[in-house]
Amino acid sequence: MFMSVTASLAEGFLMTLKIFGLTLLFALPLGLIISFGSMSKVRIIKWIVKAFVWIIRGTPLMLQLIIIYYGPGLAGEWAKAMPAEEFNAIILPLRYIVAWVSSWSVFDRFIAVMIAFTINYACYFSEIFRGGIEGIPKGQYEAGYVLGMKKSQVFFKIVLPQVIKRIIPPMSNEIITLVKDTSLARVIAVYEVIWSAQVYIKRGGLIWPLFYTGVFYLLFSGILTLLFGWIEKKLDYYHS
Amino acid sequence: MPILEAINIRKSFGKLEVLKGISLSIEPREVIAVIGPSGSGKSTFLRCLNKLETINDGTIKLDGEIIAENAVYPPEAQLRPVLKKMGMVFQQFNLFPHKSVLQNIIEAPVCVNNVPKNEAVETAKKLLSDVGLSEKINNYPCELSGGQQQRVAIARALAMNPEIMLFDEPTSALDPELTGEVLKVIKALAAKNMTMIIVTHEMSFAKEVADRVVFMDEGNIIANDTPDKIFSKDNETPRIQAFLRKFEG
Repeated sequence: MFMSVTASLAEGFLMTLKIFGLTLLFALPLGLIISFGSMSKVRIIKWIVKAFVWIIRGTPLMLQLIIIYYGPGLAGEWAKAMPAEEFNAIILPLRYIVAWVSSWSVFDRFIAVMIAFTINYACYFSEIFRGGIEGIPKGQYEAGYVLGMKKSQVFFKIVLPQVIKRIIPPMSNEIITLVKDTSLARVIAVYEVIWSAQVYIKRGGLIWPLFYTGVFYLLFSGILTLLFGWIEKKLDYYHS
Repeated sequence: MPILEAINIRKSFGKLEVLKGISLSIEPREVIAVIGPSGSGKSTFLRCLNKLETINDGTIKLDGEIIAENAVYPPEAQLRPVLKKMGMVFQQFNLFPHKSVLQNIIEAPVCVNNVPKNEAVETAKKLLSDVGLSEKINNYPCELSGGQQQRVAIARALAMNPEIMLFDEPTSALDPELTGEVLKVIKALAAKNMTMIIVTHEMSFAKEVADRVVFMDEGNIIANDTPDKIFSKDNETPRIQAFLRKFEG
């Protein structure tokens, strides 16, 4: 019994890992791009990005999952239900946009999860990146420029490595939170480790598999904690 | 034929005009010390020369190549090769803390000038021995004293083979007992005929090393002459007299 529960939870945990890994893969670069937006010298871009980050960080991830999964379909229904005369020439383009968006509703639950998680975590990461980048003294950029480096060289060779060292502690917090947040995927019926345990409750009133999922989370976040500790130590060879 | 020419440079920060139409030209192998009270625009002027600050008016040429003409800059790609002929040393050193002494020095030669790495390392070793820091080659900046960091910063700038070196108060962030080692390195450069502009508060150093001393006050150059004349007791400019008297203490 124990072995078969373990096997089935492990299967559920595989999905947890997949959400976790792919979210990191997409959200880290996107977060960097968003952080550039929130530091943009073009005020309009800066404020749009900041407002977006505020909305994403200011609402629950669970709500975002629901909106991304059900929202487009509901918009399509709403558009179909709307009397034709209300679709006058002015909002004709809007109709096409709504039709286009509602066509997304066919998308896979897993893709919805990935979109919601990626956007949500990218916004959190962007704030960490922004803090890290703004903490690098101006003199570092200037030293690079006077040596003839291009802006991109200064950023990737001089600034970013120093940013990484600074952001490891807040990043490790956020990444460990992500491990646990993956359990939210089941609100739009994506099968992951907690769901795989609940199957046992529904089937035979067996509750311990649900407690057992905690071991999976603990093991994985334990590994991550060790990993980040190791990275921190690795980067401890200098201080600025 | 001057190597660097700055003509009628104006620079404002907001409403505050920091440079009020400054002209200066420097001949090859010449050493110019720029002195003057704090806030007189010395550092800003230096930073305008290599576009760390953009000017509002005026023309800057290096070796006849335009850095800015009537405050219009050539495109970045065209300007970069010209600007990198100017080495710069900062008050705060600005070494890259995540790179070792050696990596600090070879970074730009390798990734900007495409010098083969082993060649860049050889040059770096030579430069480090010139500044007396051979044994620190694998240390990180945080392991060095301020004076040592500044000497590495000088070596790093020299590794790009600059035609002219700009020093922005190179000893102002150092403890008094460490300034000597940095000034010694700069003097050695002067002896090797490096063209240099040095913004400094070290009057005796300026007097000793400079061919010409430029005195700035409130965004203007009010004197540009040999050290002997500037530091002479019968210099008749009251502003300079008043300034120099503070250093006699």
